[in-house]
Amino acid sequence: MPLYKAFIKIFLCRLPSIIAYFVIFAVIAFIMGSSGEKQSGFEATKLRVAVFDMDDTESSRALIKFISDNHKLVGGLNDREQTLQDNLYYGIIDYAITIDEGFEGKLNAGEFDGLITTCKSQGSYGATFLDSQLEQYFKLVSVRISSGDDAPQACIRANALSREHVKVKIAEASGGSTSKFGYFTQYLAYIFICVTIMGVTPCLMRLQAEDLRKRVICSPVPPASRTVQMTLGSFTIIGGIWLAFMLLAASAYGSEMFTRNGLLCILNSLCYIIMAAGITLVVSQFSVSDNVLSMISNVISLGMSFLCGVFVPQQYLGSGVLKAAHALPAYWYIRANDMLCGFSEKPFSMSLYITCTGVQLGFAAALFIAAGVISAKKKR
Amino acid sequence: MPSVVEIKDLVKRYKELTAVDGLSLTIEEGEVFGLLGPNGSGKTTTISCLLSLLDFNEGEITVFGEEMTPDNYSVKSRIGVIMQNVAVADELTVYENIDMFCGMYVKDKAARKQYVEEAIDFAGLRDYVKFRPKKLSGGLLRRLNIACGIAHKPKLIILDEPTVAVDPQSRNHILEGIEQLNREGATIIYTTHYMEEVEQICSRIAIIDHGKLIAKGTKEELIALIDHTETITAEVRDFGEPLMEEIKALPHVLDSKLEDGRLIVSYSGGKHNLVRLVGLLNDRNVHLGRVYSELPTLNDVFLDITGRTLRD
Repeated sequence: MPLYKAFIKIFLCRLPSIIAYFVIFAVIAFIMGSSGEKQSGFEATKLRVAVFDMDDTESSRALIKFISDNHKLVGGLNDREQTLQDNLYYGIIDYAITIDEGFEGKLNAGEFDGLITTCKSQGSYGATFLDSQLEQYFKLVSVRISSGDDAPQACIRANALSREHVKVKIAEASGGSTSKFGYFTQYLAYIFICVTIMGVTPCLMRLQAEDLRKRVICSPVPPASRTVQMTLGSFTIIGGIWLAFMLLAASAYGSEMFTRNGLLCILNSLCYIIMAAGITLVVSQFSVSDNVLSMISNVISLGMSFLCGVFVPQQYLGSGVLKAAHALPAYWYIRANDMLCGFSEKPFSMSLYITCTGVQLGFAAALFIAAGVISAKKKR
Repeated sequence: MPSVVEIKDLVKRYKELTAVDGLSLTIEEGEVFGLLGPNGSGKTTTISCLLSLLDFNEGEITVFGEEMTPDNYSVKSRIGVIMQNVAVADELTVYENIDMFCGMYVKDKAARKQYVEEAIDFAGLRDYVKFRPKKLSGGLLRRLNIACGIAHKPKLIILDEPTVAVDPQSRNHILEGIEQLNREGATIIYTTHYMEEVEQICSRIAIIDHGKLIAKGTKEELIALIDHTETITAEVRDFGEPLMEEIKALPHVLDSKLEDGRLIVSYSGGKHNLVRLVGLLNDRNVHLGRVYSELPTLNDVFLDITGRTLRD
């Protein structure tokens, strides 16, 4: 198998640059995978609040307790209005509250106007949020006072009631448990095309360069054997690339990978890299420089990624773009991946999964045939 | 001697252009056969047809007594090919390149290793085995190309202009190597447009032009085809034009002319032509500088037949 050996040696010679690609892409995939981790709960924003208590009563301290339970108190500030404005401007605080003298007395008398003076950034979402919390608090106090409590009791009960929060849990559409691994496999649609084109195509092009090809034709190696050796070389390298990425994923998301959905994701990625091998074989039929090859790899990988929902989820893509994307294999890969990893609203369907992987393999077969036809035409 | 290659009435056309026009050649075992012709004369096309790299329109080619076809692998395994363009993989080292090509012919690992080592020594590449082709000079690259072609010890070696753009030292190394391969039993087909190389190493020569065979034979046979047998050149001073007529009247003189102070006289046969010419010039008080006699070359043969020089 001299051509197979030469193929692998040529690849090994280019290995440092392929490793650089691999590391960069692996890091990108990991970063994307981590940043794409789904939010599973909800936590309210905490503001930095300065409170000045001019009343110093049990009721005013209950209000301070309420504020400190929900936000972060900032102490040691001057209560002069200009100083507060400066602190707001420089972002030291988000909100300042002065509990005016006679706070408890007014509550006992059922008066709710002029209880506190506030200083805040006008139009800020945080300030509006705290405004609404305070309004809610005083409504609760008002209800308790109307039902016979005195101001301190009403404030303490309002505090207790306001601690009751509704727990928010963000549900996954299909109940998949492969979110991190799912994001990793999502970006493989981009990475596989780049790495296979940059890794395998130069080896094929070297051995198919006119002078070398002629010289090989003069040897007693039959055409079928030449094709087998080159194909075997391509698949060894492509299989190696796939395995390397899967091992990388296993080391990071092992538990997620070996679930039903995870295994189907792995199978989906295998179908996709076979299709990528087809693209590689077609590209290798054209003798181009390394720079042009890099350009071709970027156009194909980035073009398909943007059109098919690798970087932007498919549900945000326009219907026209999605229609066009149907003609691209990456669309079917992403569609299956989205369904398996809970990124789409549609529940998992085995028949749709088979369709998606089948279409990818169909593309692969078409590309292999195209490469064969181009090669035969060139020989003629 | 049995013939190794027989080409009969070979015709190869590219649309309107006839690159090879009814060429017939017989190359016998053990000879170094030179295919001489200017650029574009059809040498490489003939070789490509011989190697089944090109289909041809008419004719017949047999190698080792078998019809040469693209799938005649038993014949291909006995042929070594050294192409005009260096055909090696830039990513592989000198050793790996030779091993790759040798591996296409020799399956046995131990034998192949020995063959590769011998080819390295033959091409004088021992100091460069770990070099990649890009690090080699033009001459060394040509030697690598040759080593790749002969490593499997072929019976027939075809070299298509192997010395193009090569320094004199490497050229000598290559030509000596070809002679050595021939001494070891290989039949050689050597194409070139350098007549000096053909004169140096070839036992028989075919001259082709515009795809046609214009002459064939040993160097001596080819030279015998033309009238002139000797050219005498003399640097002259005080040479009067009337003397030219006297020179033309000398026995065996074919032609004479004066160029840049040099008198050039060509002869057809005869003996002591130089003595006679110098005697006449001395008698007429012509001052002589360098005087020398040259025998005809293949270039003269080509010039005589086609009216052009080989490098035109």
